[in-house]
Amino acid sequence: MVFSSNIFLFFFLPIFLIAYFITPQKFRNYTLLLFSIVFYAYGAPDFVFLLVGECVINYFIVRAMGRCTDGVHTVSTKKKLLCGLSVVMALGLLLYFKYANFFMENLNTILGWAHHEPIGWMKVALPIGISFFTFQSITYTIDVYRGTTPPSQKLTDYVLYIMMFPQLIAGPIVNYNSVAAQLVSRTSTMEDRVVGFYRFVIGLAKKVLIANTMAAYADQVFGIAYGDLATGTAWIGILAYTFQIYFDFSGYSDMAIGLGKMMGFRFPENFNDPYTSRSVTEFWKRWHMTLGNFIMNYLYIPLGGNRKGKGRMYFNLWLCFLLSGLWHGASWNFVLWGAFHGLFICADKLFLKNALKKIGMLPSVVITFFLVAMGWVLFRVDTAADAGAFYQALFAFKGGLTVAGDAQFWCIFVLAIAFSFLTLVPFGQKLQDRIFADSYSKPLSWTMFAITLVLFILSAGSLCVSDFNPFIYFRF
Amino acid sequence: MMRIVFRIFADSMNHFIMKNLVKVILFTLTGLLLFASMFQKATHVWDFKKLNGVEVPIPQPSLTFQNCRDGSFQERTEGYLKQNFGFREPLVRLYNQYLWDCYQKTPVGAGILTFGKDGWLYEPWVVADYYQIQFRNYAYDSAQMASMLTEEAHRVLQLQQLLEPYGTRLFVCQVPAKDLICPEHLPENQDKRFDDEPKISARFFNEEKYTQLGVNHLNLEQWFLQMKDTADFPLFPKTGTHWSYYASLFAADTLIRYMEHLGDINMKNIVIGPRTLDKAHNSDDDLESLLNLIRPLPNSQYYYADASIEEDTAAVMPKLITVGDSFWWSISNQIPMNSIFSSSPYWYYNSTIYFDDNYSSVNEVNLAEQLLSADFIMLFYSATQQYKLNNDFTKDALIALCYDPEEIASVRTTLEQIIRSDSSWMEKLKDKAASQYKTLDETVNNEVKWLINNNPGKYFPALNDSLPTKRSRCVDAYFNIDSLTFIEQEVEKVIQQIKGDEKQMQDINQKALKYGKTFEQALYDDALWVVNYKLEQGILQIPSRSRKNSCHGKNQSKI
Repeated sequence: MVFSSNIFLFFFLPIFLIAYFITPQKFRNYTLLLFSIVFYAYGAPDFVFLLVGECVINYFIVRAMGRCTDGVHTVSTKKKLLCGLSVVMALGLLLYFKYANFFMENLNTILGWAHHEPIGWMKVALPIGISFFTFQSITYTIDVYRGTTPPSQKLTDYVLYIMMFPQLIAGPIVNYNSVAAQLVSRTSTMEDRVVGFYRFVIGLAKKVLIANTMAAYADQVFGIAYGDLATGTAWIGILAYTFQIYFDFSGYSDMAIGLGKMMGFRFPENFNDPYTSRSVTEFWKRWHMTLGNFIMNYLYIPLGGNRKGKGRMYFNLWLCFLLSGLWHGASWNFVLWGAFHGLFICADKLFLKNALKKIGMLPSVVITFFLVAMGWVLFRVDTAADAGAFYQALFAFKGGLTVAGDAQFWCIFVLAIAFSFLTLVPFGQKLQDRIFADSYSKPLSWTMFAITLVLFILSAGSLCVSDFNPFIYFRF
Repeated sequence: MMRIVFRIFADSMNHFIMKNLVKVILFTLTGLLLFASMFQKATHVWDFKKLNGVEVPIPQPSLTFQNCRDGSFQERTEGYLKQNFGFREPLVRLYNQYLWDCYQKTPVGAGILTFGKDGWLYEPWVVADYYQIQFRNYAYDSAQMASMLTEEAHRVLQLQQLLEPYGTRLFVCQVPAKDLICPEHLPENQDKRFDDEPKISARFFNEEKYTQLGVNHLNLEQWFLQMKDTADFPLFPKTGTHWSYYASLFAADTLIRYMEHLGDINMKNIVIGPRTLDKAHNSDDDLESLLNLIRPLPNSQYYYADASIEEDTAAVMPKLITVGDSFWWSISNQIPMNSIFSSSPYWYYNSTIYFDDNYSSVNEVNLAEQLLSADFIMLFYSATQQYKLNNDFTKDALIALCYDPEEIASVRTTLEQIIRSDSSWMEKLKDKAASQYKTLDETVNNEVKWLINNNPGKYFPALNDSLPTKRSRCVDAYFNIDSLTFIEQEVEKVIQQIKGDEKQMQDINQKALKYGKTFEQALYDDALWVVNYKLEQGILQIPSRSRKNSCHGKNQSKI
């Protein structure tokens, strides 16, 4: 079930909200957990037991780990072992379910080169949201291991942390320590519920009205043999995809944050106008911020970060982005995409960031946007050869337009540009701050309600008339 | 004490509400917004006008362990709820109005309309056909399409030649489509993907092929083109996809003249009454109705006229089977068909048979018998539908005329067994069944049908002959009908006629009472008397064992 579907908007969400708010405060977590399990089971009935089972086992492992007493300067071996067990279990599931097919396909390719018979295997189905709940599970284990937070006192609270439906499928990746207190006790005012709903509808509109329109065009362009593409079409196609992926993913995050707010949760922000970044390094501080934080805290720093010399730092950075790419999908093009970003992150450290700083804001934003868009080519196509062909189409200077967008596409395209770069001007920043505020003045409250009403009706209408509604990040 | 507590509570609530009035109102409105759809679905408080257009209804699925596990329950539930949630109709209309007002377009997902110049509406495939890229939906390239059309033209010829000795004339009527008649309002070609590839148009290819092979055919498209500059009425409406309601009357008249010529017979004439101007209705605004807008478009006016049939006792009333697309509706809805034809079943896309006020499936009839009972069989397709190769009618017909039902059943059973024994094939069909909301058995049957129609000569080799000599025993059985069976059939027909006439039913009832018979007995006796009277008067003749060779319009079932 996705948020931008009729069944969620008109059935699941209203029923859940009624059930949640009529439940006495102290039992609300159970209601939320029950609905979260139904939400997950609806999309992946076979995997719900796996997910719940993993949560239960991990809960007890981490609880046992939390009881271990450390020395003054040493960590007990048992604690290390339990931590390792927990992480290996989480990563093991991720590796098996997400990467087994990829591994076997590559192994068979190599065997083919060596003129050996391929190894037969049953394709492994991918549990929805495994990438996200694996990372959340790891943050819990590591936070408890590091003593940042005590282990959860209630099994149901922990399972709820992992399975909470607003962020279960596509994030944001919420650190356990940032919501631990809210899991036990939280309040949501009337204003929280209204503002949360506004945020949800804004996210819905971003996904349905902007991302889907961009996707329709981008899919047409990427559906054509790249050799036949006119240069203009290839450029508009990749720009459409660049906006599609941003409004799709940030829309989903807005919906998750809004739903959380309606229940009294404060989920971390996941996007902060990433296309206004002045360097690739800054881009990663603004794009999928919760993933960036995870990589930083749970991968880059444990690898040694910048504490082990410059060479090691560059290697760590590059490796982190390579793995981040692989996390996005079990395919070589994602690895290439990660490596591409890793390369520019290293280049930023070496010289690029300073150089971009010197040329002024606008040129640096344009160059960074260009680099990011070039990266999205790798993300969108299936193979390296396809990427090569598409890059060729981008720079072949072949005239004309292979796919002419209609009026709706161009209008939404212009809007997407405006919304993406709005905060480059002070007025835009001010406007955004007011729209995404926690509370509103009376006139703004009415304005926001009117805007929400229009966006909700248009989004719901769009969902009614169109079957085209896939999420890019759905099966991560 | 209670009063004091209540008073304090009421005061504090009042204070809270006054202080947070805006928040309370907005919270309430937000709640209403969220729950309104469920409320409307449960109560149907507001009765909204139904959406225009045909939609395949998705049934509400029942939950089982298996369909929940494989996801088909979820998929069907979402499909069902998508069609059945509160406020669907106004939401769709509002969104369509937004698309229309802001972008002059229709929902992308539906893909049912394209906007031309000056507010003209077209179906997207009609536009694609004009630019000769429609074939890409049916074939990999133009060479493959040409080969498919050539094979079909040969099959039409085979069927024409095969039926001719039995007195059944088969002919093709090429129906005009809006793109060729009104190209000046077409939008520019948006799809440039195939610009550099060879193209093909079924309408021109077929015209050439039919002429070359000697297939009986009437090209109404060419006739419409010739009329375009001289006709003082629109041949196609601005916001409809079919020929204008008025123009179709003239097309019907031309068709009758063609059948007279082909069968060398005299048929009754159509009389077109005085015309009146009226705002577009019936099929003249069928495309606009699909827009499902809140505000109607500024409408053009069109001519409408009543059609009647000239009395002519010397005229024959043949049986006509029309296999074709929706253009026939304009004719069959305006012309009193029963006054021209003894029977005129309409085999809509070779799928559903419409006759009188009834309908049935083509799978339910004895195909060979139906073909032989007809005096004329007309393949009636507009240009955009000609890529569908007569919806497999010719293949079905040739097989039915050449092979015994048992032989056909045997081939089907064998193919079904092959499919069912292949687990990967079955898995694919399961997915297909789920996605198309069909049962697995239905999907397997369709797969068998697809296999046969994809290569009929492989499974029924007689079809590979230029003119098959093999005949189904149904053909002989049809002509070897004995007199007793014939009379029984005629009696049954008369009984059905009486049952459809209230006055006659009352008469029978009175006769039954008068002569002390049961109603059924009285009905049968009356019908038998009518048949015997017709035989005595020569109005009815028991068919001989010879092939029929003229248009009698007798001894025929309604479908």
